[in-house]
Amino acid sequence: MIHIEHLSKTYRGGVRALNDINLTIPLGLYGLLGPNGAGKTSLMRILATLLEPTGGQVTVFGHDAAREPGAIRRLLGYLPQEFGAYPTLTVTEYLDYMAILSGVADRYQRVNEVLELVRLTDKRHARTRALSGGMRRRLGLAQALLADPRLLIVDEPTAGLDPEERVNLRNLLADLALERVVLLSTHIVEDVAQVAPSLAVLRRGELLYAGPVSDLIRRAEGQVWSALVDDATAAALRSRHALVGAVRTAEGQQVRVVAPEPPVPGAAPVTPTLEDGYVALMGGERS
Amino acid sequence: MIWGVMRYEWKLQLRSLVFWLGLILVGMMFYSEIYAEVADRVNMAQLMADGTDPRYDQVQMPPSMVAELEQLAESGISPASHAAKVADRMQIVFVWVALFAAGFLLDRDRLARGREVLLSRPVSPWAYLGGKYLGAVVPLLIASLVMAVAGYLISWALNSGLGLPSDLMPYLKAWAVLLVPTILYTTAFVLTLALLLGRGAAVVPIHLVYMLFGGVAPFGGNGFRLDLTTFIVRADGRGDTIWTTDWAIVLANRGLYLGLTVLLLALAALVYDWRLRREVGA
Repeated sequence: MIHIEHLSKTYRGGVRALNDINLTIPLGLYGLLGPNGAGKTSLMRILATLLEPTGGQVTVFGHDAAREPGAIRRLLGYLPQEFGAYPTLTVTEYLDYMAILSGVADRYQRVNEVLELVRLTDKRHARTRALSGGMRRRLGLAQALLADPRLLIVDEPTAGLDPEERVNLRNLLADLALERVVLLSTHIVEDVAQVAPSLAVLRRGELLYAGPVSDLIRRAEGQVWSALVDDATAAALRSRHALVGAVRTAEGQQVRVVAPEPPVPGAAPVTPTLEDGYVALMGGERS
Repeated sequence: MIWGVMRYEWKLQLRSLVFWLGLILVGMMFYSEIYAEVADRVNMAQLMADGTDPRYDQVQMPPSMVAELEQLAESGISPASHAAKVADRMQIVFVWVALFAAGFLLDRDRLARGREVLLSRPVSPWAYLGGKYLGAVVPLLIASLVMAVAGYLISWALNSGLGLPSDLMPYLKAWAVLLVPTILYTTAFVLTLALLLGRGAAVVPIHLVYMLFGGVAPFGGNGFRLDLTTFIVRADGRGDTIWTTDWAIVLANRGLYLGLTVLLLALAALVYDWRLRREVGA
């Protein structure tokens, strides 16, 4: 369980990344959504004890992040957005090295287990530089799982993965969340929609929403419309509203619009998705 | 943990192309020079002994050289003298190899984009830095030992041409007394400097100046003198080796630099810890 109270972070130079964030993250998978520059990475780096907050308090499983960073690191697995491994080491060597740094007791067994979990066993003797982007993300997840952490923080874990790998990784995170806190930060709404029961949405350092995914979807009810329009109307809609989808057909464009009122005569209300809820929350900013 | 870190830093070092290229290129250069110089003297000594070559007229040579050549002809290469010369030259090689081996130790984490993963682990900065230092220094010590043995093989090859024996012990002794403290100290010096400056590349020009004006030759003094301020003990390669004449000074010098090594490593660990705290508080 993670408690965040009145958390703020202002970088040297005056850039404010987080402003008075209050949040409780329960056991299970928790999504963190927001556009670029929202403060997601700053929040995760503070939780991972890699960044000190300017104000407020963070407690991870009862440990204060400011006073007991070492205790939190022993409970933590972290996959940063920018992950790299020593290119001349093999996959097994790299994981063994990271296991040493994590203080893992039975390294040989644990390395084999995590390789199995992320389906990299057949690449165990490959140099890390020879891995594809997707494999490298899986290696990143493997190193984060080495110490069997109670808190797993993953920043954009599905970036660069093909659709099948994305689904597999999402399912793996959902499985892992059965017995730990998994904090999934992403800008891909679909990833959160598929596996996270709850989420928080940040924008420009402010917490816009924290709660169940279903509640955020419900907020968009009656605000999502579908209509078949010509190109000129589609362009006009795009400039006035958040257009979350546009499929060109023989008759024109089938558009999906988030708006408080029907955007064009004849627009039909449709069942919202998390993406619609997210766009609606963002106040009509184009997705 | 320190030994685990050392093991992988060692592997990373041994798999670094720059490390091997530097070692091979500079090593070959110095050995060819030493071999050519010694081989030339051996040839001269043989020709003088035969009295068949008018170019080696003893009357035109300085008496000291005549004496040396006569000794060469009679007893071959003095292992003690040659070992000191090999170790002397190798020190200059290794302070440069150490520069690249230790200067970029921490940059390696950054270049591999692995810093955040490392910092999110419950790692003691002291153990991590200590492991990195040992991982850098051990391959250098092993490589220098191999080169010292190669120096012995050169003297053995040349002496066997004269039908004379050679001795390995002086080479091992020169390695232990001259090369080991120089490598330990230089690596610690470069590592600390890289931490203070924040970038490995920034160490190169400073180290160059230090080498030229402070490290090899003492300020305003003679580079071949045994001076406590000179971290490379220079040997003149003649029969009057440092082993027999200046043993106490050599040990005092080496002890001084081993002590400085420990102090530098402690300073490096403090700076590393400070840098991490500063980074977290950015």
